[in-house]
Amino acid sequence: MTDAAVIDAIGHHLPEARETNDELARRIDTSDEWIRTRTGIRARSRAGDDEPTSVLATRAGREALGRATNGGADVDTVIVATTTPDMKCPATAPVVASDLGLENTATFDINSACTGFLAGLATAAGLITSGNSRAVLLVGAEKYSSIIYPQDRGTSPIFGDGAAAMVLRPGYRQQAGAIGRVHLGSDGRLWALAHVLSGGSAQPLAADPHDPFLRMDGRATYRHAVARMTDSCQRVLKDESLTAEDVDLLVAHQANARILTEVARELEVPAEKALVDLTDIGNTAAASIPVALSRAQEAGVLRGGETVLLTAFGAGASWGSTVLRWPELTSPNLTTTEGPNR
Amino acid sequence: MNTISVAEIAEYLRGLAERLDLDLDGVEITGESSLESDLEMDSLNLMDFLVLLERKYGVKISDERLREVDTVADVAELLNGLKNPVGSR
Repeated sequence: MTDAAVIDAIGHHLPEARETNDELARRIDTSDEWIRTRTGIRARSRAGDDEPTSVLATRAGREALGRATNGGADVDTVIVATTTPDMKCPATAPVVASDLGLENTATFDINSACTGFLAGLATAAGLITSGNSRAVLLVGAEKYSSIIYPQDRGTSPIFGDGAAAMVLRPGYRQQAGAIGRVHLGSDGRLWALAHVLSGGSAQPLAADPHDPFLRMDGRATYRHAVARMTDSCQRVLKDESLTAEDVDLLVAHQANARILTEVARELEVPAEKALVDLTDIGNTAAASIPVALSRAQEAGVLRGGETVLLTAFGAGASWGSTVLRWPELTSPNLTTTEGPNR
Repeated sequence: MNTISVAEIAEYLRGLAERLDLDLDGVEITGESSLESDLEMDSLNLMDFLVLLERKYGVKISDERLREVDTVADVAELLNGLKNPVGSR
């Protein structure tokens, strides 16, 4: 009998368009140097007007399904982790499932901001080990440009658009790619760190032009992010009887390069083992961890067997971590990127 | 009651120059020195500095107070207020 959910395939989709620091500096009071030194970001990915979150998610999902065992034919559950759904209602996941040709699937979204993918991993693992799902397509997808106030110099340089998807299926705890304990936490007293005021039941309509867009307290978020991700990582390492020395790759939510450096320093993980993958795309929120994993797999940074520590911090405030042994996945350049249905 | 002086904070900060990626050689640090405009910290290494001060002095700086810090004297006043709250004597 299986006792774990295991990673079967991964894929991602990033929109082609980029907004560079210099382009940004033409419309808001900032500079390439200011942005680079504080965030490590040189350009951020920008989805087009005809590319809502579901389109990005579907493209990433199609890539992952194309690499999955049997083309992902047994996927019966689609979960989309996103802060930027196509619409307030319904969820984005049913639209994605339909566009992928997956019929009669269980579908729902997870809204846990940048921690969404880790919350999704915990959920997917639970569904699989309880026997409620045969195989899960878990997608982290965001069109953050849709909630960025164009003149906000605190958030405009940071966020990008993109999606990545993972297929998970039943397996065994000792197998590479098995999802173990996912430590999740939150502190709702910190809701104001990063929030969108209007559009919800508390304030349906905007009272101020900034209300439908993201507001973020960058200083406080930075401090809490470093502290919570560090603490959460230490908990999961301890749970698995591992130490920082056992970590081959730290894949933290790609919030900004300085946070990644600081978390690695606090954990005593050498800087070269802390993956930095935001220079050309920015912070893609719930998509950032799976995009980083997918690109690391494609680049051959992950080949199978590596101990990978995942951690995130996001609005809520919410945070989470897990550690896993990366599986040997089908090489993307040996398979078709076309999905089974379209 | 031990009071944390501006000189003590300045010395601690000099010791952290490399850690915080600051060039403080030949830079005079006084109570009036603005951490951002005079000592060329940015908002993030200012946060790192304040977190290291929290650990050193065993205090917790609230998110609201983080925003009020500008000069080295502000830091000393903040830390002294947290270490020796009014009415604790």
